[in-house]
Amino acid sequence: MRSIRRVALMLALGAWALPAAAQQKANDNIQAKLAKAAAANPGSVAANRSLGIWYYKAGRFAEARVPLEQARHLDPKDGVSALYAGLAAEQLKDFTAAKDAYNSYLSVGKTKSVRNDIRVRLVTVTKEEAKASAKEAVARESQIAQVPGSPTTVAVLPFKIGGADPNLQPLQVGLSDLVISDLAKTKKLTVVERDKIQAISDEIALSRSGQVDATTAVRAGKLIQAGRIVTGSLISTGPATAGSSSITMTSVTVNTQNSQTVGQGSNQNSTLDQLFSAEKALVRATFVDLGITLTPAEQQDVDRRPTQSLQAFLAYSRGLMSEDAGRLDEAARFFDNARSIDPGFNAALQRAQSASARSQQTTAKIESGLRGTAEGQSVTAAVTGNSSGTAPLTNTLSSVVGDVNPTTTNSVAGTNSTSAAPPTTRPAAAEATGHDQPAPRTGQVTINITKP
Amino acid sequence: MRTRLLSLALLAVTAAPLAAQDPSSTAVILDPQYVSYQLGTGATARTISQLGVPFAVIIPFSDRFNIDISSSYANSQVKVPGQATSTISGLTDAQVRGNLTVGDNAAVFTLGVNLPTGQYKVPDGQQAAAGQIGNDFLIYPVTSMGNGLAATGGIGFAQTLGTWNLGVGASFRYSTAFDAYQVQTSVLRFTPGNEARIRVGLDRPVGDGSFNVSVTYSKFGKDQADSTSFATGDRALAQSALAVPMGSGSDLLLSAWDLYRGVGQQLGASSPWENVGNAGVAIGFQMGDLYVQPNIEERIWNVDGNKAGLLTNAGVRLRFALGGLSVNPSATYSFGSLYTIGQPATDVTGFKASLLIRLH
Repeated sequence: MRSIRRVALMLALGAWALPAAAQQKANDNIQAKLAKAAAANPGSVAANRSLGIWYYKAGRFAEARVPLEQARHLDPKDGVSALYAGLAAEQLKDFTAAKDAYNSYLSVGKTKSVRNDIRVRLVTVTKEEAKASAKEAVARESQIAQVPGSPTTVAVLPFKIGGADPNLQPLQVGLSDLVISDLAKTKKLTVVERDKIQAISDEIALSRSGQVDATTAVRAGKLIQAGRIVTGSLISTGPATAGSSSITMTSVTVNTQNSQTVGQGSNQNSTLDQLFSAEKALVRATFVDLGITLTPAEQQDVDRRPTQSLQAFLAYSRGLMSEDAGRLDEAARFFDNARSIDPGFNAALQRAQSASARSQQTTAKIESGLRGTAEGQSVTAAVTGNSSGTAPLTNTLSSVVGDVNPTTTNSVAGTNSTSAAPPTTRPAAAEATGHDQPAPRTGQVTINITKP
Repeated sequence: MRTRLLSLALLAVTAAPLAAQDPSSTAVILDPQYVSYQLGTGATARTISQLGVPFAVIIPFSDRFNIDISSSYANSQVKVPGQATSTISGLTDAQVRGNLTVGDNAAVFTLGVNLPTGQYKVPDGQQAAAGQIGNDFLIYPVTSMGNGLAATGGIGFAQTLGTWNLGVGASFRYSTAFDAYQVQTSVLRFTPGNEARIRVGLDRPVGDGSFNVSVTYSKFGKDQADSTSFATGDRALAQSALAVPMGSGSDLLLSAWDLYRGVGQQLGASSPWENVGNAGVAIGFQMGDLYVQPNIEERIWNVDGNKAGLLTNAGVRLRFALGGLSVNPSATYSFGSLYTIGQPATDVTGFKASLLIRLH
């Protein structure tokens, strides 16, 4: 009795294990087939692409990059190779290579929805690239510090916010974002993106302490390779809800090479509801310090205010902080809030859309965009072990066989996936004698057989 | 002779997996089904039922070559109150088919043999049961108890056309004579007409789903019953299906087919054209490990331009895994009518249950 149970148990275990083993064996066969095809045809874009995609799908990202880069080299216009090269690079945290490949797909890729997804993805990848660059910069700080930044390359560090109301703290990133945006309106300056500054700030714990001392600020500027850095502060005497609260907004421009102050800086005493006027005055003073004379058109552009609402700007600033922290859903809600307070706040709308799209964006979603498309055929080909890169025609051929040479196999194999299958064969004798009718239509057919 | 053929078929089924390169990839499918239709009510009610057990073994010898062997057991009955029940049961013909793929899924050669392991010389009392399961409107899982020794050779090609896949094929079926019916001591020697088929189809992915459409046309030679020659009419079958996922594990399946048989001649009677059209919709969704697919379909039968039948099928299909097995039970309830010119409509009700089990 015990041995019977043991045998039954082994059989049951075998029944569970067999499919997994068979699947593994099938996968191994596909990989071997694709590898063999790529080795036999090293100049074949399709063979290399199929192998690369297969490796990617198997989670073997490092192995995927070699054939995918080879395919891109062979045909720079092959969008699918570029896309999967980007996906593989991203998985390996090589964000610069991922950006390059994604941008390549934007140029040569044929699937519109994937191009749209890639544009959203590039925002994330760019941020990740900035973080990786910041780490590398800190690791190579002694070397980087030797290379002087250009005097026209400017970095604006997060503002220091002082005062009793913690609700104003988000302005540390909001104000720097605003100043960066204004300084970038002239082509005479190269303004470092806030993502890069934020990444360096995070890396050297600049903003964590809230104390942006001159030494740390210069260090950050050197790491970013900016010739000039702008540091600022905002001190308020009252709550964010009271527009009449007094504020003092200051800024200093520093030469990162010698740590000397450049120009006079800015010192604006105002009230909270005049925050944006104070910011514009600060920006004008900074241009003067940097020796930049704006054209009338640039001046007009700089004077334009994205919003007149302090509360909308505070919500926007909170969104930036959440975005920096990677809380994209929360960021989208803050940006939406800013937009609802001031419907004309376009930057908030764009940020809301971007954060919302990024929060739902995954590499799997990008891949799924290829399904059902001409480019998707290459992917399906790879998954099914087709090194020619064309659509897998297995099902097509199977249907042809089932229709031209049908057997019982077709009827039982198809029951699983389709509705009631039509009769594919003729019951010859029954049809010929009328026996196939469920009820006699015009009377019973009688068979009279005469002996020869 | 028949016993010898049956033994050979069984031997092939047993031995083939041993020869296969990868026996673990052999698929075994068993699909027991019970179908019963009641035509009319009361004292004139006619009940046609069948317990059919089709089964198939698919043996891949390599990536390019596979053989499948299939047959069925069937027990069919026609019951009419006050009359003796017509019953036929036993094994049907066995089919052995080999498929050889050429190139990178570019073409396939197919060669099949229909082995006459089924029921022949059907006696008078079993003829109703043997014949009525072959009706194209009330579809039974096993449509024939025997078609005689026959061989079918065919070729199919597939080609990608942008996002579409084109599949075309042609085949020829050569049939031999067999003893179809026996009335008292006389035997009807019947030779089905040879059949030439062509098929053109297109399929393509649609999002995560798929769409396909195809038309198959069959041209028949003359049937021969003893010394009488006649032809029951050529057939054309159009099929189409759209399967699309709808998120959260659910999917939608729309399918339709239409079978047309041209004007022909039966033994001793004319055979007008007839057409059976079928359209169905099914929505599947996942409930844990169980896939549930309620479905409904409408079928209409037309003979010589006159409505001959209308049938609604409503049911549910399930699917779940049990160890290495895929288990697919289903149940369907049918209701509708049969029509005859100048006579009141005959109510039809039916029930179908099946339990498809697939290993691998």
